[in-house]
Amino acid sequence: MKSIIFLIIVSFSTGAHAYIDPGTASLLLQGLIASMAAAMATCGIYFQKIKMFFGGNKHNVEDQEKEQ
Amino acid sequence: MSGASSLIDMGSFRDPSGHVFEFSNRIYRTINQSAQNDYEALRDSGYIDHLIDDGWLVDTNEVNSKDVPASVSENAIYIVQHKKVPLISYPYEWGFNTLKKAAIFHLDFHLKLLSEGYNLSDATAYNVQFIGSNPVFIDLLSIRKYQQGEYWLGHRQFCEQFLFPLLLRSIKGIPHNSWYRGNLEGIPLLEFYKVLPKTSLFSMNMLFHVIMQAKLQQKVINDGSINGSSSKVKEKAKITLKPLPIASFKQMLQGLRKWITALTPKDMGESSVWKNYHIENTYDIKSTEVKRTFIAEFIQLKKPKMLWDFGCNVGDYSALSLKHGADYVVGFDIDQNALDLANSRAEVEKLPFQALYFDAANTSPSQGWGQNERKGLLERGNADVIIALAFIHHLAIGRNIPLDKIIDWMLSFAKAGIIEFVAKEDPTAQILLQNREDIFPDYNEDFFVEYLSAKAEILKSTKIPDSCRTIYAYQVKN
Repeated sequence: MKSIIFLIIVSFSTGAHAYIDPGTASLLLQGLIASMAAAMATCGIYFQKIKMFFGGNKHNVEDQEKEQ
Repeated sequence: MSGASSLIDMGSFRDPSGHVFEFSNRIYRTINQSAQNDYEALRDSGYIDHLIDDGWLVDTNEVNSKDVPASVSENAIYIVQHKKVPLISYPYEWGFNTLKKAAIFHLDFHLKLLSEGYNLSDATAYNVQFIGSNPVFIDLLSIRKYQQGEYWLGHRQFCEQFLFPLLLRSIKGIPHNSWYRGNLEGIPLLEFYKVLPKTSLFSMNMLFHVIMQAKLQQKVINDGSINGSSSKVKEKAKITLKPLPIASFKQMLQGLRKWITALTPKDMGESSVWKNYHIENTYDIKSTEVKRTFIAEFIQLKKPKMLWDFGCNVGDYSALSLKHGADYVVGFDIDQNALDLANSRAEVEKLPFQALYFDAANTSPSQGWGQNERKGLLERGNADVIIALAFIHHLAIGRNIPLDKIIDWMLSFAKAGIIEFVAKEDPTAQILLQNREDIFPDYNEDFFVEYLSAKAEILKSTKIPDSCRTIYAYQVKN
């Protein structure tokens, strides 16, 4: 009986806000920045590789890759 | 145990790493085992002393646990003593410029810590206090070692406690105080989001810190609703994120700093900066002189360590009191623009003076957890001398508070003071009365003198020339 009541209560709960850490959105937002920063770093390497393909300095790219 | 808990400042009870308590008029902080390593690292590297010397952190020194009652030190590894700030104030008692100053201070402090390998575990505005116009950080235990790639855990808190309240005034012209005092943790993200104008979409800062955060928050709430499947909830709760480069972390703080620095109240703008306002004042010189001399003599006699100026306006009489021997003045006023001017004056003239927002008919109560987390004005401190110039008629006629109750209330804050009685015939009282019935038979000077004399000794009184005002100095009988 108790479990039925529990199920009824649970299934009628709409937004259980109390269970949500209020800072999650902020963390997701910063995660976005982190991903963008990571993507830009990767793009940087590819950009260097393209530059190298067109006669850039090979040395620089290797340095960059070591830093990553 | 009840003795120990009564010593603990309820504002610090949430922190498991230590708590604050007051004993023999001194402020102490316990440091428990969970904060031991962080504290030792900070102390042994001399970093705490460096922060204190540079004025970032409130004066702190380690004391022997035998100096304090055993009941409060039982779980503590260390006990430190903090210098007492003249009056603890809360962000809902700050004017716009004070909150803005605290926000910029918090960001600067955080940026400094990050540059030197440290981080802050939160971003609560209650950790910033003011000594005169200078902000100081009071929570030693919020300072932690920075771990590479970590996130700004206090971002949402910073937004709700600093950014949104400032934006509310800056965009909408609504002072933050009432909303903040109602919620205590600032202005909630999803509520603030609802008052944003549509044009906010065009601001990158708004888009990032408010709109996107609110949308994500909404999404998290919608997705995270409990639907009977606990495994699903667990799965949602776990988020794996890429490390945040320190450069991006700092950029967030610097971006906010730049944005907040440019914010001004919508209804005021640049006029909130102190620029020799007293020269533009139109008071009659002779009557002002009489009033100033009266106050100066009384302050010289009493030499108060702490003076409260009720209805301080831009701080003319606060500054005068400081000049004549008061050590520290806290001004109170309901006028937001006057507050900002008074605080700007304290900064420009380097005065030990701060002006706080208050509605005299509804001063800050004790509230929060257990109705004791944030203290009421009366519970936080009192003054040696109080001055109330051109003030009580606002309460008596403007707010229907009986005169005897006003006098009792004033005497509860300080044993000595100056009150200016403004008669009904005075032009300013006439303005208050012009559109209403005069229901104040007891608001007259005879009753004022009779009631005040019963409670205190009237030391001196002087009629202000060419006016319907008399100024009284009193001392409560022991």
